[in-house]
Amino acid sequence: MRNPRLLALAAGPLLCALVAFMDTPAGLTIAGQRSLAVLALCVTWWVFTPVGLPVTSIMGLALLPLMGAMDAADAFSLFGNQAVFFVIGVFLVAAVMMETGLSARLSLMGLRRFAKDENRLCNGVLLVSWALCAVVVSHAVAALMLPIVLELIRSLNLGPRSRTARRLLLSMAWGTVAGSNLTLLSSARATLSLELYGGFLADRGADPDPIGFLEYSMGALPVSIASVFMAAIVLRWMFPPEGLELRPAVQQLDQRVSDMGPMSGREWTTLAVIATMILCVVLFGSDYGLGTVALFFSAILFTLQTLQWEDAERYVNWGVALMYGGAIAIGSALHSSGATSWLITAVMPSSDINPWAALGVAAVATAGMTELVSNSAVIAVVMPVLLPVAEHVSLDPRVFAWSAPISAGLAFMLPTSTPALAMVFGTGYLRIKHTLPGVLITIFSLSVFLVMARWLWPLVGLPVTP
Amino acid sequence: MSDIRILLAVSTSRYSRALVDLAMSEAEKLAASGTKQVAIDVLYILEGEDLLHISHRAGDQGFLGLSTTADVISTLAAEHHRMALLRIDEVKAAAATKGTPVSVMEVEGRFVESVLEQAGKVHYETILITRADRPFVSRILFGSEADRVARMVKKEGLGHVIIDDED
Repeated sequence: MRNPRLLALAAGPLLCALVAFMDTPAGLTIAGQRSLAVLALCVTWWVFTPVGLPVTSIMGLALLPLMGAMDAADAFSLFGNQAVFFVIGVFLVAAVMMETGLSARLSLMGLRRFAKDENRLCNGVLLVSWALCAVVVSHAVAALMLPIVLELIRSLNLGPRSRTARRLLLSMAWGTVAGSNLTLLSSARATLSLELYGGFLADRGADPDPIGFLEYSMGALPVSIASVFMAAIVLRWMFPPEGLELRPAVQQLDQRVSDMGPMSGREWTTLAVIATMILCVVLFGSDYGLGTVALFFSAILFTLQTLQWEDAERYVNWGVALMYGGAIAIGSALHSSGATSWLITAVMPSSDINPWAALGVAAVATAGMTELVSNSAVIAVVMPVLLPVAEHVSLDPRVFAWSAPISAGLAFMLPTSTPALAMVFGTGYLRIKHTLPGVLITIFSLSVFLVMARWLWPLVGLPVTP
Repeated sequence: MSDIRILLAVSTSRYSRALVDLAMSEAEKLAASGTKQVAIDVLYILEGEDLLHISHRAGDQGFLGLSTTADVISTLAAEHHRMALLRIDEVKAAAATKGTPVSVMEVEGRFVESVLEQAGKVHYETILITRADRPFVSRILFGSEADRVARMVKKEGLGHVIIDDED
């Protein structure tokens, strides 16, 4: 295996051809078989990434009509759905927060409050990184916090083997990972999950019964809090304080806050627009669609000139729209052709499976997968499969709208899991042995989710089993 | 110009204080065994390829724009440089106590290729490298760059390699 990239690149089309040209199994439609063939290619490429994630989506989107899995008009209409535009809005919010300096100001002011002793400073980095994810997409928070944390490390003159340096960096990374489960603005994967869930119901002619911004956040918040709480405990246990004199760090923070001066009119405008946008997403998101509200306020940001188009080009990788649009189209083709339902029945002939065991296994498998694969790709791969599994084992599919993105956001261990962990590994301060205890956070967070779904959700009118 | 040279190869992801001490004692041993002067060349490798991977991850998986990704990479590069200076100072301080002359080279590139290139330019009596701290399974599956350097150096007859695990 001298060139794994080439191997993965070749394996995708080969698997696709294998599935497409084998005898059509009983119960599977031709369109379903072709959809599974496209999925085989996309899963291989999304998991092993011989090409960028958006490129795989483009290929999948093109293959759907080419292979007769879906009409071109249907495939391309799915590309322009609400979820894609909401995700664009999410990234534009992050762009304006970074461009105006508002996110940096909020994090510096938050950190200044915590800079009393080593423990509080590290916990402050954890909490500020986590809380900022409520509004700014978590990867952008990591990119914003990295230079701030490194400045603190420099001001304290910490070396590469310093426990405090490692704790500060890991606090930032774990804070953003835990924070990625806070709201629909924290990551794009939750929006993709909700869209695939809505599409699954629509294909079955059921009322899509959309899950709103607030409803999703209320379901995810306890898990996110559990993650950040456990992260604080694990970090304190792994990296006990070194008894450092914090004055240089405090001076550094004071200097940075002072350099920023008072809040500018542009920052106030940004704050007002984003606050109004969140309020409108909560109040009107279900009626008008999340994408509509996000687009409207993005347009307002441009109109008020708090954001320039050049900023949007600099801060956002527009491949995000291609990635999510393609994933949604592929998910829809799989559901509408009955391919995934056939697959689930073929793999799990008996439906006499404990739904809680099914939910637990799915959550653990998703969390495991996300340590190795991008969390967006994980959702694109697992959601089309999990939704029919839910039906098969008499579980409300709604539960996977939460469990899949939450589990896919519990990547606390490997540098391959999230950009935040890749960044802190890239500093050279951390090794795998420092992040492996992150599995404790994953286990605790998943346990909290399962307990919540099993005992608390029925109390608020969301029974997961009939 | 010294007669006997030792190469101490370190990088962003490969450094061990024990290896520095080992380099000093190796220099002392060689100096004691003959009349020739012994010097240490420190090759500090800034592994730029790692930054490229992070750039891809932030851009292709995190969907951060070019400007944000570039900021992250320049921040990391600056930190790598600071780390290099700290470590080089540590080596210089250790060498000063033993009276061993030290010269430092900072290069950007891949670990294996950079070490082999330097070992091909100058004859080294001993080449000291650190094995990166990775899980055993990962080493079995994907191999070890330190072991690769040792194999290649032996094959090319470029010197004697000592490998130490990262501390």
